[in-house]
Formats: sequence, structure tokens, C-alpha cells
Amino acid sequence: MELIGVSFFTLVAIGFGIIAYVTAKILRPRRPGYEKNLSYECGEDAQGSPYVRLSIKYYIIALLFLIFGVELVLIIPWITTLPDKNWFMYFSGLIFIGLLILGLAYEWKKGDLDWNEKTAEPENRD
Amino acid sequence: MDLLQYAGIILVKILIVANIMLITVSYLVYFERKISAWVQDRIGPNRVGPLGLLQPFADVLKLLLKEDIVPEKAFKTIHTLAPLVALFVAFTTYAVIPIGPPEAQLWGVSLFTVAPDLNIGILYVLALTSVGVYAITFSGWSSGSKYSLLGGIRSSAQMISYEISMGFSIAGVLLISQSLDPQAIVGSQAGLWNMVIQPIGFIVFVVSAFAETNRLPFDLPEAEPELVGGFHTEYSSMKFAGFFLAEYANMIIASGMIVTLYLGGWQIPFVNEHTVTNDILRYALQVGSFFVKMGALLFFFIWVRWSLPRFRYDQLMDIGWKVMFPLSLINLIWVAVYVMLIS
Repeated sequence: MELIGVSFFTLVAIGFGIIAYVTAKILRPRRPGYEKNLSYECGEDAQGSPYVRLSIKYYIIALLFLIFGVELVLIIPWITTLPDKNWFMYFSGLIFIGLLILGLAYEWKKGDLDWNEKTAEPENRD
Repeated sequence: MDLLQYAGIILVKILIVANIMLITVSYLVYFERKISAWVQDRIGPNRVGPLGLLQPFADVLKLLLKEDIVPEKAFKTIHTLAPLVALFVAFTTYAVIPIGPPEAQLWGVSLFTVAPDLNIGILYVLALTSVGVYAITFSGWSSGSKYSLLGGIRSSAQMISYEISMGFSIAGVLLISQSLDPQAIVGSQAGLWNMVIQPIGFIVFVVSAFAETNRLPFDLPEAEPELVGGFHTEYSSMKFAGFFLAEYANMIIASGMIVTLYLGGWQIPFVNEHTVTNDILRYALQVGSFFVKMGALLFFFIWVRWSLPRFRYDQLMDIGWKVMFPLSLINLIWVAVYVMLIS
């Protein structure tokens, strides 16, 4: 019963997108050309592969997201147990959040949260 | 009541909501242009209809009639799918935002929410927000253009970073309500609004909402001067309109969520069934208050966009991980202590 509203809404949302696509497809002109179909690069012909190399930082961010995202998922069930006023549950939750903060501090100290690479200090050679 | 009748009523309600939503989204674009003109001492759209009020329809018609250019190097299927995903996410989130009290019912169906019985509403919103990242990643990756790729990858990193702080600030709200149902969250704010109890969480959520909707000062995915159009560089006609509509629909959802989670939803202080005994008048007042709060927040979104400069990318990441995330954890601990000791 409770899922009827949501599933209908999903269908309407998908339907709206498809109807808009089909209407546009019927109405719009189609005159492709060689230069029109090139990918945009400041008006020049595109140079090389579009799949340029990316910084490894993005992958580290994705890993951090996974770790903390999973921890968030673990915290939500803890919240729903609070009405029982169970002190054991309460403190285990708080300890868990403490561990989370420790993890964050570790990442911070390791430098994974710094977006810019730290430029190496010039060595002091006397 | 049998299932078929229930389904029919729900379907009618959804169609009404979807239409209202489309009109609000188009007029939000109009208001953005008007307010930006006002901020910059210009006139803004004033040609189509009185005061330019028919401008949104002209825009939609124009986008419908434009040629759709798909670059040769693009992955056609994913390229086509991406705006659909963006639209889908933006639309379906509306289902759980409560705009009025749950008692208001017509033929046994709640009037003011589309999916009133969904008791995991907040998880539903969090899940859909995560799906929203896919739309941008898909479009960035499948366009076969360097600008799109860079814009898409930047955007997904930004959105997943801020999703964490957003999730933890929502956890603070859930601690107060101890339920995942949006109506219960609004109900739990009958005395004190969450904004008063957890101001830090409120600020973190608002900032994350700005980042999640890719609005200035967090519009790095688009960053017009350096990345052309960012992830939607290679989109035209109705596909571009999909992203455009989704951005504004996301703004409306973000304001709706802020109102629901922190500003007491449809509640007005000292207005309840004892002070205002006329049911219809009370419902009207409460629904009105929801829209007033939401309108104020939308104005705030637009105001910020036209007043602040854009962050640099490393600043954006630093704010996300080194300021907002620790603040959301502090907020969570504070609310946990508050719930157990003070209330």
C-alpha cells in the first residue's frame, strides 16, 4: 500500500522525460554536419583522446566517501534504538562516532584531505 | 477501500502535483532572471506577455524546436540517458516532502503528501540524492569531450564529499525525531524548531544543499569561464532542458528539505488545534507557512548566487572535508547529549 504512491510517482517521472524527448524528436529539425558533430574544443578540431588522465586524488575521495558513507549507514539504525533509553546502546554509538573522528583525524594527518600537494620544503644544506 | 480506488486517487494527486511542480520550476527560472536583473540593476525579461510572465513558455518552446546535436565521439545511449536520470531524480524526491498536516484527508487519502505512508522517507531522499550523482557522471563521461569529462569528475567528487556532511547533519535531526518519516520529523519540531536546537547542523545542511544542487558559490561542475559548460557542454535542445529543469527542481527540493528538517515544516508557533479551531483555516495557514518559508529559502538561494564569487576547487574540497564534516560530527555528538540529558 505505502509503496503505491512512490512507484506511481516514479512512473510519472520517467513518463514525463520520455514524452518530452519524443515531442522534441518529432518537432525539431535534424541537419547533422561534420563540423557540427565534432566535440567542442574552443572552435578548433578536437586534439587527441577526450579521456585525459585524472588526478589520483579523485579516487582517494571516492574511497573516503565509501568509508564514511558506510559508517553513516551504520549510525542510522543506532538512532532508531534510542527511544529504549538503553545506556549500553547509547554509549556504544558514541564510541563508534569517536572512532569515526579518530579515522578522520588519521586521514587528515596523512594528508589525504589536502587537495594541493604540499610542495617539499627546500632542504637546508649548510 | 479497495486498492484500485486508492490507486486512482493517488494517480490523480500525482498528476496534479507534477503539473504544479513543472509550473513552479519554470517560474523559478523566471524569478531567477528577474532577481538577478534586480541585483544588477537591469530590467530582465519583459517582452513575452505582461512583465515577461510568459517567458518560461517561450523558453520551453524554443528548446523543443532546437536541433539536437550529439557529438560523434559520444556514447549515444548513455548520453541520452543522463538527462533522463537527472529529471527522474529531481521529480521523484517530491513524493515524500510533507507540505501540510497529516490529519488533512479527503476520502481517506492524505491531501498534502504524495506518499504519506512511506516510513523511510529520509532514506529515500538520501538514496535518490546519490543517484543524482550518476546523471552528472554519465553525462560527463559519455560526451567524449575534455570539458565534459573534467566537469563531470569534479562534480561527482564534490557531490559525494558534501553528501557525507549532509548525511551526518540529517542524522542529528533523526536523533531528535527518532523516526525516518518526514511527517514525524515535522511533528517532533512542534515545540522547538531544529534550527534552534542544532544551529551547527542547520548551517552544515544549508551549505551542503548548495553544494549538492551545484549552485554558486559551489558551481564548480559548470565553472563557465574555465570549463565552458562543464558536464553539459555537449548537450543541446531538450536534453539540455532536462539538466536545466533538474537543477531548478533540485533547488525546490533542497528548500523543501531544509524547511522540513530544520524550520518546522508546515508548523507555525502557537497555531494548533486549540488556538485555531477552524480546521480549514488552520490547514490553509499551515500550508501557506510552508510555502512562505520555502519561498524565502529560494530567494536566499538566488540572492547568494548573484552576490558571492565562486570558490577555487581546493578551497571547495577543504571546506567540505575539513570544516563541514567535522562540524557535522560535533553537531551529532551535541544532539546525542541533548537528547539523553536535557530533554
